[in-house]
Amino acid sequence: MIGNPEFRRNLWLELTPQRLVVMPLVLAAIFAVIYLGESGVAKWSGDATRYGGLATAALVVYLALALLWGGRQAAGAITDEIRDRTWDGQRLSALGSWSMAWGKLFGSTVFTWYGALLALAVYAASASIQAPPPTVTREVIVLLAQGLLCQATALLASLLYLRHKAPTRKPNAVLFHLAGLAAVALLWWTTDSFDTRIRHWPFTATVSRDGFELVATVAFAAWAVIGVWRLMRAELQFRTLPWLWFLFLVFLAAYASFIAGARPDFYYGPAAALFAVTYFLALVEPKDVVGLRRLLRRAGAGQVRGFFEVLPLSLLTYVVTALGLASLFLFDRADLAPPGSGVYGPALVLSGFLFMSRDLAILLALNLGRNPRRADVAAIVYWVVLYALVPLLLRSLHQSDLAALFRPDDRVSGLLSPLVQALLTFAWVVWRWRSAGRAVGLAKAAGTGQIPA
Amino acid sequence: MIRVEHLVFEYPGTRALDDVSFEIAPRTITALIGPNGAGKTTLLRCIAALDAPLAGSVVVAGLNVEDEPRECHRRLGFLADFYGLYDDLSVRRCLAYKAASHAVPRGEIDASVARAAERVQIADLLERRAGELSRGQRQRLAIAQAIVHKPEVLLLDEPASGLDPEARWSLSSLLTGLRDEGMTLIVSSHILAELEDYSTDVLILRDGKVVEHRALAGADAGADTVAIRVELVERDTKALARALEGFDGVVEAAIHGLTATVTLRGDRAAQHRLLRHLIEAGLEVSAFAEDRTRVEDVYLARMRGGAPEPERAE
Repeated sequence: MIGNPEFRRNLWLELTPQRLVVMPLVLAAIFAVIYLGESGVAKWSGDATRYGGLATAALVVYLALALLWGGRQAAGAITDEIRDRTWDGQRLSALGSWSMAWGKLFGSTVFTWYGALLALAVYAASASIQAPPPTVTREVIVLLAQGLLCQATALLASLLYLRHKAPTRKPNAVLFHLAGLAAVALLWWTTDSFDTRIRHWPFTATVSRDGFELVATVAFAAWAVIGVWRLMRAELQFRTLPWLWFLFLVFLAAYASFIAGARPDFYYGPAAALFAVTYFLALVEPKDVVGLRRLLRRAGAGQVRGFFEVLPLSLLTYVVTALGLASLFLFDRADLAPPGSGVYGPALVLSGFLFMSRDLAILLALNLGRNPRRADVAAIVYWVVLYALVPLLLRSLHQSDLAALFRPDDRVSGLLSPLVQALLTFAWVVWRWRSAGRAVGLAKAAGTGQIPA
Repeated sequence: MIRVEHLVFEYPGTRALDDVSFEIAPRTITALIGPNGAGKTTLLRCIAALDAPLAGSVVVAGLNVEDEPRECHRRLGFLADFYGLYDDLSVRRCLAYKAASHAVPRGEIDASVARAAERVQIADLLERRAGELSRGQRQRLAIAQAIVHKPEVLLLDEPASGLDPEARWSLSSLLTGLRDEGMTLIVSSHILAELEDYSTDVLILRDGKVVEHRALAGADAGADTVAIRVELVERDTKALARALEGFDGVVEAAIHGLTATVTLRGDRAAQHRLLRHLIEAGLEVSAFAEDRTRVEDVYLARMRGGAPEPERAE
């Protein structure tokens, strides 16, 4: 493990002799205060015993170290390098993507893990006095996976930021840290109120909430680490095919279907999950004319592998979503709606898909414009106007029928409006694309690299 | 050693490199020059596999950089214009990390660190933290990091910025020494006089296009012939002409007053033999030096839109 230069460099920086001594001393002092005294934490725990208070305190310390401090460290693993102008130097190394990925993920957080594992050991020891070992073991694994999920997602978010190539040279790691915390919270939300009665095809098994939480947390933590590795490959200029992303989408859809089978409020979960991922990726991935030209150039040359190497993941997700919707109609899944709601689910989901197509076309058209720097923000403003302001205005003018044209509808006839809007915005994209092509032609003809505004 | 073919690179709204093609021979030092925004840094980044071009290919030491970026990085060193150092690490650890991350075998890292530090004269600073170094010392550490793994190709973007005159002179001899050891270098700089000292070739970019790529005359450039400028204490045209005619290797000679410009075939040893021949012929030689084509002349001629001035040896 120490053979990984990136991990070793982090050890040099993070595990100084002073820190190695101070961390256990501070933790020992905290736990001694909890165990020996009448502290507030013991009262919060709702447990009269000192061991219960100690377990609660150790749990809080673990979460603070693994999620708050460790998540921040992971979020800054790349952004600090960019701030200090050392990232290009790292990209120039001969390290493989996996070595770089785990060297950064576990290296940047090694000191926080040092303290977190000490706290977790105290938690396991004190909790096992009141709970059976299998329960404590499960909780420890879930906690470890939550820490890893938070840190890996924070690092993943910072790598996604690099793909976006935003103009600012000082990315704010707090946002990436929040992404890590949000991943843990979202997963906890989907598993915590999990109903063990699975009602819908294809899942019929009865699953315990605890077991499901364990499997889901470990699985998502593993996917986050895989995501870090794949994005690191792209960042280090390795040619990468998106088949792992495709597998993740399948996993995500299956997971959402599983939840949908258990929770009535999650009927549209699979479609919503794919829609959300498509929107998110479309916003964070680069959408400049150069990348699209590279994509089309490879497509035109018949370079199938090369085409998939530069294919935006948002476009792949969009296609997978479309295929998923097609299967809905193929199997006429009219039951894709809460029982008794009277909603024709497939039409509603297809309507949502067409609206999403319109939104993505707006985003792309704005990014192909002359000043794409704020195109993403502008697109969000467009979406707010189209989804909120225009319908409100029409309603205030007593034109509720017209207002209905700007929101997803479950009637087949209601598909016409989003279809027309999607086609119009797609035409806008084509026009913008041709304009960009003409600009390059003019620049070449003028013998200058500057493409005229 | 480096082959670039039809390279096209675009930023949104700007074509930074437009159908750039050239080839760089091994054991040369190429001065990469051009006005601001000409595409020099972009070109270096494409060669270093840091940025992927829209079209075209770059082959370094026989490796296509897009196909094998990491293997390419083993063989390549790059000093960026704006670089960073790990301020909290000692100089020794900075160099050890760079060596290890460029696949230098573990048993050879200490020796590699010592050698690189010695070459840039920071051997006495190995235990100091990088954050405590002066600007010039930091620059030398950055150069040491770029060469610690003994790359076959070294790319330097403004390597002399921050260096004092003495350190610049040291840099010049360092680069020449690296080339003598077999390294191939590309140096981008705005300080043309500095490039003059060690460059064997010049590559000029303007608006993302190569407008000039040529070897500078001189034995170092690896050209067949070299222009030599000879000056005498007293005018003795006939004796000088006789001596030159009788020397094997002189291709052409033009004598003007006390000065002769001689086109000589051969390497530095041939120059030494010619000087000895002239002195043994009884000529009072007061000056004897290569008459190189100056980087600045080539650059200014190109930037003014004309052809470079004719070489003085013609």
